[in-house]
Amino acid sequence: MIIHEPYKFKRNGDSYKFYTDNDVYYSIDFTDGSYYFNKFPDYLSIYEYSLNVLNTGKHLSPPPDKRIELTVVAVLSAFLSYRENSVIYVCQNIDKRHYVRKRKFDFWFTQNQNYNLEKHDVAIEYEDTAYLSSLIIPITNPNKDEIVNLFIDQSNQFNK
Amino acid sequence: MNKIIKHPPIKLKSGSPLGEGLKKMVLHKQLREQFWLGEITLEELNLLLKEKGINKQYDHPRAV
Repeated sequence: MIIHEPYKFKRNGDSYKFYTDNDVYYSIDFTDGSYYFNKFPDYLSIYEYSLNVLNTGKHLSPPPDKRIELTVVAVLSAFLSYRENSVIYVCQNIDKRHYVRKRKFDFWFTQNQNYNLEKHDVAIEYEDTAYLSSLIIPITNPNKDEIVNLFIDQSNQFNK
Repeated sequence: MNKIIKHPPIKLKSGSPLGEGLKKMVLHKQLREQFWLGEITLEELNLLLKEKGINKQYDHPRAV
């Protein structure tokens, strides 16, 4: 049985970078996600997460690699434990594979049971497109209830 | 222990600010991917972002 481990990553501010065994260079960046909300209080903070390829090495596109998934979860967990913060995530739906991505992400998320994180999921339908939106927040975040309520209310207030 | 909490699905009316924000968020990711794949240049990326009403511009390729 092969046991996979996350790649070692380096943190620089709100950016985490790592090289894979295939010499592909990735960056996981956390940027302000408050624009997702109609009104978001200044005393709270929320981030948007994105996985970026900085260099594909010798490859035209990044080859499949199970350790990337584990690294994404490890980075998310590191970011959230350090900041006691929250991250908003929308599964990309351009290629209509967002349900596959969500299932995959949920699998990694539940397989990593050491981090005490909550993930709140809302499926939003808009102009015949489904957006799978999630809020990931540490159970220990002192503002958890307020941020979760903002996330849910934000989704519901336009549903009228 | 990690936990997933599912909330009821919602359907937004056309023109809703949240729906428009979600569209922009996804389009932004798509345009960045097109740049990484070499399909568009940095200048084209910045122009498309502006045209689509996405309030973001990139000064350098490494920042994309």
